[in-house]
Amino acid sequence: MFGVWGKTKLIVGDLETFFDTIQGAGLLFQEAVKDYFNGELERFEQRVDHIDTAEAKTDELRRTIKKQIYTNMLLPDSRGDVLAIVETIDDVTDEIKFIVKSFAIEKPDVPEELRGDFIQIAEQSKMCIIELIGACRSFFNNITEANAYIGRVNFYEHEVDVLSERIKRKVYAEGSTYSLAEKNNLRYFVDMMERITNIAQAVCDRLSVFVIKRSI
Amino acid sequence: MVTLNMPTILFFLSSGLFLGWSLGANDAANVFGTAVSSRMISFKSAAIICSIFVLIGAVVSGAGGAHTLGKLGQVNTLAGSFIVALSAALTVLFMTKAGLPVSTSQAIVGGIIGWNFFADKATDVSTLQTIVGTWFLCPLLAMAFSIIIYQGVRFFYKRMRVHLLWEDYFTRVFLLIIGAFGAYSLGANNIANVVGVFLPSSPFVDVNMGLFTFSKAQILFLLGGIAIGVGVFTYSQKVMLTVGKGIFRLSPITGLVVVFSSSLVLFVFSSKGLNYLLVSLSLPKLPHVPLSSSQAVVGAVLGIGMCHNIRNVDFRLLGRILIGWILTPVASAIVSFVFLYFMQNVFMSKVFL
Repeated sequence: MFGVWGKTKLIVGDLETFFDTIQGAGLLFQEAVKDYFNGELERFEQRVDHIDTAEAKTDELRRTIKKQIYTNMLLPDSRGDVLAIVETIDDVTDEIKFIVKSFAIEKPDVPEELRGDFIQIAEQSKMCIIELIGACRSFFNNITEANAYIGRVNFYEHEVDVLSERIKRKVYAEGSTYSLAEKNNLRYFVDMMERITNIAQAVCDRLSVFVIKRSI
Repeated sequence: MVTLNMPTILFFLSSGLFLGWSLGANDAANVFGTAVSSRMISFKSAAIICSIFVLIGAVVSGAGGAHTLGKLGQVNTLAGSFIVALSAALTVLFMTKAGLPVSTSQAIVGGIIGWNFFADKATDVSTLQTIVGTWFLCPLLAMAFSIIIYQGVRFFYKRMRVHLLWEDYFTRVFLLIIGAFGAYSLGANNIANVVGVFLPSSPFVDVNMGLFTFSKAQILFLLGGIAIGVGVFTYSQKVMLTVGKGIFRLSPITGLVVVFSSSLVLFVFSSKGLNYLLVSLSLPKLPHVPLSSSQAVVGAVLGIGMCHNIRNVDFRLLGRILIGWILTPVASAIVSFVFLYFMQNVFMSKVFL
């Protein structure tokens, strides 16, 4: 029992670090996108490196948490739910890394008139991640608050949908001066940025089922 | 008094020891079934804790239930006790095979009444009323306890904002502690079913151990407790996994509530300490009656069902238990009467004095 006490303490700590790191990656993402569009490319590259480190850290923590929960046979009743959350939420940092790396490698030329919308998507995505982490934390600590967080995640996901549609309408509007290659490239980056909130919503969809299961 | 040799004593005790083995194999699952089947506690840990605490409960607090059974009928020869215990064991076996609800406590009471009829001894009606009244109270009290405890646990976990992993840890610890308490209560309450009928004809003598005296009753309880322990180690794992996953799927927390509630019921009807407390508070004493731990568990599970929705309560199940209260003692009494006849007239053994 004393062994399990120590292991439990360790995993609770790991989970907190895991959530902190994902939230940190969300904050970095917004700043990185801002830096990119403001032409602060050196600072942008530093942020990409930090995001890279954060992604590696969450991967490592995810593996440790999974291993500890399995080997110590913890949470027999809700193990599957917890591991599903840990697995899917980790996709957020993977996606953030993929997006900033794509910006760093492909260096898309985004027209001035669309930059504000892109930055707004990054801001809303960051807010969505913060709420997502709140939802996950309340699943573990205070189940009664989880639904409020889930509601806010859905709100930000919808906001990002609206923004990306606005960008696409501008890009593909009649009389648009963009070439087909530019149009496709811009749409590609918009779709990519949209995926963060889509993942957050997918995590919350699972979470809301787990919340019902835990409340019974 | 006729002095018997050890093989003969063991032969006559064998029916009681078989009842003990059966109790260990089946009823230990009521205490540790959820914990083991959900893998919160390993079977090995559960079996060790269960055996130790059943033994302590039996030796320390087993006298009350046995005393009540003694008031119902003083089976005064070893051969008679053997038949009463055997009848109870066979009734339990055949009714279980037939899929009917059955309890060792009810079977042993039927067996004693059968002996009373055979030996032409009067059955103490007021003791019988007390016993039957307690059977009726057992599932209802377990239901009431489980409603109160379940609401308390839910309130605690919601208010205290316990992390899911810590909740898991504390549930594990409490499953062990409450499991030990459950095993103690099971030993204290149910040992009377196992060796209670052998008390008046006990072949043992008091043993002075220096610091304390081991009474002949306690020697019987110790043997019964060992038989229960053997049942736990040899056969209960299979039953634990069936109880935990088959009949009703309980989460570890609801399992904890069920074990605590049903154990409390067994405890209040076997605790001497509680009676001292009640007397000191000028309250009436509770009778010490061997109960069915399975029926206490059913009551507790129904209580949890009621916390969610009254429609969750399967009243047919309660009806089946009620039928078992009548059917089991009657069947056991008839079996006991017939077997006593054979023992007396075919094997030429004295079954009463």
